[in-house]
Amino acid sequence: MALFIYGTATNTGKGFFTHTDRLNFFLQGQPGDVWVVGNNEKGALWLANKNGVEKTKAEAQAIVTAEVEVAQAEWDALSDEHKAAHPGRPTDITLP
Amino acid sequence: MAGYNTIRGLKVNYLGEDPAGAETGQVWYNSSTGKLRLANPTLSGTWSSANACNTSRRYFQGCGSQTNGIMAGGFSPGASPPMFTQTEEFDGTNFTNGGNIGTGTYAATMFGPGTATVFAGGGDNSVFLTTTQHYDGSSWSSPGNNLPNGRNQAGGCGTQAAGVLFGGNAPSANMTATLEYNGTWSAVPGTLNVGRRSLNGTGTGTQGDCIGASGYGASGYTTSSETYNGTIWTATPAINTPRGTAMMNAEGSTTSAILAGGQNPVDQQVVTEIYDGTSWTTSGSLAASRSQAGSGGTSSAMWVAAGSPSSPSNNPAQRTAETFALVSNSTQTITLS
Repeated sequence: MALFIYGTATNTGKGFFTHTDRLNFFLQGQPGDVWVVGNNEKGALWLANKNGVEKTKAEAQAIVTAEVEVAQAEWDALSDEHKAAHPGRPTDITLP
Repeated sequence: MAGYNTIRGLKVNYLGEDPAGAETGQVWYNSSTGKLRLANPTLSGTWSSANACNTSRRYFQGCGSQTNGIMAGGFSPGASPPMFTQTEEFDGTNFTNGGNIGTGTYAATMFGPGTATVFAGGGDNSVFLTTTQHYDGSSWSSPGNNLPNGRNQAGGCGTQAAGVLFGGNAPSANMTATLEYNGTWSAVPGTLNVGRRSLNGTGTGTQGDCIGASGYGASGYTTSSETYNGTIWTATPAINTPRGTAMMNAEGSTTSAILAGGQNPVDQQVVTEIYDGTSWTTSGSLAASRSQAGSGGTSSAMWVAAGSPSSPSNNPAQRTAETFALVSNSTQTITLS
């Protein structure tokens, strides 16, 4: 699907994306500093201006999956007591 | 029931083979095949893969013919710098690097042959540009005649002596305004009926023979197609698939145009449509869906290259090119039932 641009960009905190950005294009953050951006002029420019690096969907999915697998392994290593205190094993993520 | 003789005032000819240059609507009996035949020109075409271009990029244009094509500018998130100055020339087989434009620019409007090209407007990632540049086949120069206002994603067609630029984005406003160019830009009264950006244009090289189609306007991705006669824009039959940031042949006319690819809310497109002056017919599909790409060519031989998705690492898979060959199927067999 090429409705979206996939890329990585480091979230620098407040102002990294704005309300106007959200109005201008689809924007979804994922683990591993992966961003799914609407494939239009403003979306593509936003990624470029955030020093983002465009990835193919497969590359972006691999980054997200690796991050999720690390988080799942960490959760699996928790004691039953901690698991009870922090319910909810990280679930797999499939990029749109 | 009236016979062909009554309707046409002619008898059906018995011919040993299909005649060359038959008129539309002409009917004859091919005695070799035993088939009743009808001359009914229909247009179709096929895309073939071409050698990859040199730079993966998005939001740029191209123009010129399939053997003297040119494309310039664009950008790719993650590339350094992200805004490109690169020019590539296409000879029908290979892309070779040409002289760079002065400023990294995306979404400019290009028209003209590859040795006398106009590159106008666009954006440099901070402002919309008014600059105009000319290419002579090896290097760019600035004639000093700027657009009255910055705009990007406009349509355009024609030559350095007789160009037209229309629609576009200035900024965040879908434009209807038309400019004509003869070395100097002039605002003209004719305005598009549907204001839009991300549209395409093609023409013969005179300001009175231009067609613009597709784009993104107030109602979203549009099917609108319009022709310009040098004075006014007139709506023509709509394209079949709404889309914007598509690719079009550069050297067409109001009776011959090819539109390919682009995007709409459903997906990035592979669909190709051919205009014959009467209607847009879907025919042929790009091997790879693409939008925001460079394109050019005539109404019988078009090309496209690169586009979305782009690759900052210049992956060959994101800088592919394709060429289109028009086929005219002029004769059909009449089946009686």
